[in-house]
Amino acid sequence: MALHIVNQSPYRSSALNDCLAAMAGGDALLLIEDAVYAAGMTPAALPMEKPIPAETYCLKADAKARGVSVSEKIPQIDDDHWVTLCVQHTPIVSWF
Amino acid sequence: MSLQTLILCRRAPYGSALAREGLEAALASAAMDQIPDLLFSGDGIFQLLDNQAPEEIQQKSLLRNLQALPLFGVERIHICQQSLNRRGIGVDAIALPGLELTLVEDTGALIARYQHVLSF
Repeated sequence: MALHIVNQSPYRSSALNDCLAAMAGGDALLLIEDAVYAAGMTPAALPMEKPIPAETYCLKADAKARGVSVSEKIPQIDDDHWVTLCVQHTPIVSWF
Repeated sequence: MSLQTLILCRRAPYGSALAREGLEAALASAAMDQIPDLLFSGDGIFQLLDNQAPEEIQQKSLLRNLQALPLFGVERIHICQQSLNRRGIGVDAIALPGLELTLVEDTGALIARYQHVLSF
């Protein structure tokens, strides 16, 4: 299973939308940097065509730094957990 | 067995350096006998358009790098069908002699076959 990492706000860039279109079932998604804004929005406020998948994570420090209140469904992880995800998944795909 | 490396090209050719860097990474990798596969999706498919005249804006042609791919052993490129449809571009607008064009419906399944994905 792949790990997809997105770092752009969904309102500024097509990165998250493109990523969702290229995800296979069971892939994981990690939202970092400005992509954490997608983790704090109600589904109706999000511009993507597809919903974010069940296995979606958000980098806690980036969300806290930006004052984003992350949805309870999205686990907030630290850098150590990020490394663990990288070890558990192949390939790792960056979207920016 | 999973394939080695996929180079993901998502940027239009002359607006930033990323498109060129992706192709250069592909050529460098192939020159080291690690022949990568390439997937053009999103605005990356604009790199493939025929009739580019980048000298008009004092830039070097990226099409030349694409045309060099077969010389380095890269004989096939993947193109996201949905990205073509979105932009109203037909495959007939793409003329790359020596390269086999494979249209991909399910990019997720394609990506899943690789060990490494380099994004540009």
